[in-house]
Amino acid sequence: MPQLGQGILKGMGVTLGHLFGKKITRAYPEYKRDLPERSRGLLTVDMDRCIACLQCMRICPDHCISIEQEKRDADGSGKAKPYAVGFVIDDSRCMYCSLCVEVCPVNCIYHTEEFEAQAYNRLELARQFGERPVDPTVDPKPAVKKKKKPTGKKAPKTVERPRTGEDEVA
Amino acid sequence: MLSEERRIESAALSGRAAGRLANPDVRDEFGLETLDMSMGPQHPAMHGLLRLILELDGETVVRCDTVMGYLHRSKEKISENRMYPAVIPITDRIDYMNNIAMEYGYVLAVEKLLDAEIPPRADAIRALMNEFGRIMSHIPSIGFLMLELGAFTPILYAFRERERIQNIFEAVTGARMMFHYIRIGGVKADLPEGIPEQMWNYIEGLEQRLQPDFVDLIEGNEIFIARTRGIGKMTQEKAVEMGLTGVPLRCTGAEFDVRKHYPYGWYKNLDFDVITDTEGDVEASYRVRIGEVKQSIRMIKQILEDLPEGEVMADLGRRIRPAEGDGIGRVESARGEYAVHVVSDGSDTPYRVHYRTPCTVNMQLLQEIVPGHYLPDIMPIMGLIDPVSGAWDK
Repeated sequence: MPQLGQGILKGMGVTLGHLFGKKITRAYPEYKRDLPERSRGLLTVDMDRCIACLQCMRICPDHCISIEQEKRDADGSGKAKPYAVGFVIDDSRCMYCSLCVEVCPVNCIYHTEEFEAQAYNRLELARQFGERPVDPTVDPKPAVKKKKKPTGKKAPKTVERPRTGEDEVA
Repeated sequence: MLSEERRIESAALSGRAAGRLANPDVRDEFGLETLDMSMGPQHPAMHGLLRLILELDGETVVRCDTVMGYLHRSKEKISENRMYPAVIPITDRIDYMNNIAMEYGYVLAVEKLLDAEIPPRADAIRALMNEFGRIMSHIPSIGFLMLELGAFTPILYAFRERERIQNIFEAVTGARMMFHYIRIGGVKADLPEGIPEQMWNYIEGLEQRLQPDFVDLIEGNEIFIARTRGIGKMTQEKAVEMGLTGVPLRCTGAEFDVRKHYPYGWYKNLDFDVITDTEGDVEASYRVRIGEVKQSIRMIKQILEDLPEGEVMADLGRRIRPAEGDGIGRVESARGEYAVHVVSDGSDTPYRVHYRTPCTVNMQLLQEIVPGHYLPDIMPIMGLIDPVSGAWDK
């Protein structure tokens, strides 16, 4: 039969042992640890490589990438190709899911190691990469009305709640 | 039925006491009424945002109504408007303590729709990460239970372990919480170089640390026993009747685990036990959680010893567009059985997605077992259920 208080003393012994161990906390703003290679930080775009294929804009679930595209002969080949004149990434919407990075055919959009995004208003978080600014508040992908297949049952136009005795009292 | 719903609703909206409306004449022999009290939604012990309407007779709870919905983000409707791969980041945010199991359930449902063959290495990595996710969720659960009882030390040790696992996850997936790692057809990328060795070292270390840092610290502590033994006690029949899953069910003695009884993925090849306890109280739930962490360690060792080689992603084409039909994915998350039902109409986006989260069901336990307990016993009972706000509201 263990004596009363022994369990508490045993626990105290465990915490006492930790007093002499190595510290595991670090002072964050002064000390920053190295991030692993796959770490997903803020997005950035290399505009020289971008071919304005708009795939990142289409896949983005949060509609945070807006691209303004025009036909331009940028490389001097005599053929007008799509060119991204405006490119904005709205960090206030981004959820770092990395889907845009995976679809990019030329690997021009990628995650950096920076993760400290803060601002005094939301528009400051929209970072412009192109030569012409794009309005980040305009939704690049307006919602398409989805056709739902009929289920066979016809819904009544108005649903009337059955009246109970309580309604008259109220 | 209607009047019952309206009564709770009107009480929730106007702040009027629900209990008083139900029994207007509750008075004891001294002519004293019961007291109605609202606990939450902003309460440190409510695991998020939950409101309890309590009717108190002295310090004893007479009735307990739960009001959910303060963190409702309409995950199911949002999922209907996104393409199949883009739903996975949403599922991450349902149960934010055990994200990897939430991804796993959705992906299994879509793969059932597609009839996809998954490479064995991808299956093994999924199970490996899922078990790490379970440890990452169970150990802080024990810490939260102790924190609500007033012990501050275990939560620090628990979060130290969680941070170390998060470092491994960051190296593998790129994120510390919202992983987005399990994809339709496999996993995002193979394990980086050196990570299996790091995992093995961590697991060996955890096995040694689990006994002194958690079991010795908590088990046998007189205050812990006084606050948890016999609290929240329920019978096995009651637990089965209420449809509980996970730790609240297993701590009553019922042996049910989706990994064992409806095996999916790599779990067919693993050797593990379903941990049960006979008591069905808060202390038993703590013992089950510690036992499950040990089983997870055992499983991770088995997977790492015998990790198959090969591809980690099946070739399903660029565009995922399943045929008409529906698929269900069932997984055992850290909190119980999590199931996803996906209905496809043949387009790019799902027709309907339903998430059956264990927390929503397990939370119904509160109004059954809290009456009769003292007011401070609500906190250990919340620790027994261990719900997550994001999961019960979706």
